[in-house]
Amino acid sequence: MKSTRLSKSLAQRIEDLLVYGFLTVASILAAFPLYYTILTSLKIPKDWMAWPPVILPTQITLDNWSWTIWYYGLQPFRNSIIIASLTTVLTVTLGSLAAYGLARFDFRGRDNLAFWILSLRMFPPIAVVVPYFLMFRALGLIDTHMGLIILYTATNLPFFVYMMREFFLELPKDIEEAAMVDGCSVLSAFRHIVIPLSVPGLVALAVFCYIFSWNEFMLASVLTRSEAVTLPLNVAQMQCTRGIEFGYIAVLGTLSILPAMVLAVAIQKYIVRGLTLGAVKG
Amino acid sequence: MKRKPSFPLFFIGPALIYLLALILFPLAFSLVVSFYRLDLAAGAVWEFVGSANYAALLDDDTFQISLLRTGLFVVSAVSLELTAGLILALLLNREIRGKRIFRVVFLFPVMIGSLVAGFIWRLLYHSNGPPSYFAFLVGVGQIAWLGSTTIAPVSIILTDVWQWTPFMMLVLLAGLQTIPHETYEAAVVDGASRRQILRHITIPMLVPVIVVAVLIRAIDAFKIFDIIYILTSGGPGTSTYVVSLYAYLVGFKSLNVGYAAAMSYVLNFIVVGVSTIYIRTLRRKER
Repeated sequence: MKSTRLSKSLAQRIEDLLVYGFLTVASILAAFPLYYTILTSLKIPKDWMAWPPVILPTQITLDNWSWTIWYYGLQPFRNSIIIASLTTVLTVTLGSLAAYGLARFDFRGRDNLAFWILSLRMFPPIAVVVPYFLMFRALGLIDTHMGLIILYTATNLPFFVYMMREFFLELPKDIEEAAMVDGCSVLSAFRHIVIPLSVPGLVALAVFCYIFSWNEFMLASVLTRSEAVTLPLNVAQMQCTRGIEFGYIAVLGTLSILPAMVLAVAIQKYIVRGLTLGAVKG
Repeated sequence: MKRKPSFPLFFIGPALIYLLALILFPLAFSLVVSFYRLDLAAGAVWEFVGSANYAALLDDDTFQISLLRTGLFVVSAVSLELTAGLILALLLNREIRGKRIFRVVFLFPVMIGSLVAGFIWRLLYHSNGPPSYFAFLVGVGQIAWLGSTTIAPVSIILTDVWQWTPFMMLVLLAGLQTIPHETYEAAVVDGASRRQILRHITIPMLVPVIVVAVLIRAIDAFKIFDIIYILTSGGPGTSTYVVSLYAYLVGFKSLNVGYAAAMSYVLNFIVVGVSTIYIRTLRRKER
C-alpha cells in the first residue's frame, strides 16, 4: 500500500517535470524569434550574419538604433500612433453606442442585425481594396491619415460592435432600470452607469482595435505613398531598398512589435478575454 | 418599461450608416468592377465586358493553382495549429505554477501582426540564421528555406503555425476552463482512467469550442497575404502564389483592376460560405 503511494508520487513528479519541460520548450519557440529580433537590433555589424549565429548578448551597441532613426526619421512610427489612436477613439464611440442599442432595445430582427454586422468582419480585404483605391482617389484621401482612419474604423467596427454587445448583454439590467425609474434618461444611464461598468470589456476591445490598426498592411500599402506611410509599410519597403542590413531591419522590427508586447504584458487578462470572447462565453 | 421607438435608431444608426457606406458599398462596387475591363495603366477607361473576367479565370492556370494552394494551406496550417494548440491547452489546464508567464509569452506571436511576423521569420530564414544552424547541428545540411519551390511553402506554413498556434491554445484553454469540476469528480468516483476522461468527457465537451476556433482560423487563413508577401512575394517563380496575393499583384502591379476584382470575389464567396457556417454555429450556441 505504502509503496504504491510512493511510486505514484514519483510518477507524478516525473510527469510534472515532463509537462514543464514541454511547456518551456514551447514557450522558448514562441518567444525566440522576437528575442532574436530585439537582440539583432543591438548587435555590432559583424555579428549580424555571423556563423554560428550570435544568440547571446556579447557586444551590445545602440548604433543601429541611432542610424535607423536618423536615416528614416520617426515619421512612420508617428503615423502609426496617430492612425491607430484616432481609429480606436472613433471605433469605441460609434461601436459602443451601436452595441448598447443592439443589447438593450427590443425590436424585430435585432439578433439578425447583430450577426449581420459580425459577418462584415469576415470579408477578405482584397475584395474591397480596389473600390477603396478608386473612391479614395476620387476624394483625394490617398496618402492621408484621415483616409486610413476612416477605413480602419470600418474594418474594426463589426468585431467591436458584436463583442461589446455580448459584454453589455452580460451586465445586469436592474441598475440601469432603477436609475431610469429615478428619472435618469437613457442616454445618461448609458454614460454614467453602463460605460463605467463596462471598462474591462471596453479596454480589451480598444486594445484590439489599436493593435489591428497598428498591424494592418495590405490596405495601407495601396492607399499610402509617402506622407501617411505606417510602420508595417516602412518595414516592408526597407526589405527591397536597402538589401540585407539586418541590424537596421531589426530596429524597425523591434519598433513594430513593441506596443503589442507591452500591452500583452500589461493587460494580459483583458486580452485573453477579448481573444476568446467569440468562442467561449463568460 | 416603455421607451421611445426612435431610441435604438439613435444608438445604432451612426454605426449602421458607417458600415453601409464603407463596407457594403465597396463590396457592391467591387462586384460591379469585376464586370468591367478597367486597366489603370491605360488611363482608367471603363469597358463593360460582362462575365468575361470570370470566364478568363477558368483558363487561368496560375489562378487555379493559387486557389488550390490556398485550400491546401488552410487545411495544413489549421490542422497543425489545432493539434499543437490542443496539446498545449491540455498541459496548461493543469494546476501548475507560472501559468501566467506561459500565457503572456504565448500572447506575443498573436499580437504582433502577420506582416511583422513574416518579416521576423525572414530574418531567421537567412542562410546564416538560427534555423539553418539548427539544421546543421542535427546534420541536415544546407536548407534553402525560401529559395526552393518545395521548401518555401513549408517555411510559410511554419511561420503561420508559429503565429497562430498560441491563439488556438488560448481559445481552447478558455474552453477547458468552462468545463465544471464536478464532471471530472464524478468520473473519477466512477473509476474512469485519465485517458477515458480525456476521450469521453474532455474532448466531447470541448468540441463546440474547437469548431468555432477552427472556423475563425480557417476564415483568416483563406485570406493569407502578409506573411507570403514579405517572405517570398509569391516566389520562387509562382510557387507560393495564393489567391489574395495573385489578385493583389494583378490589381496593383499589372493595374488590371477589373480582373483582380473578379478574382477577389471568388475568394469572397468562399469566405462568405465558411463564415455562414461559423455564424450558424454561434447562433445555435446562443439558443
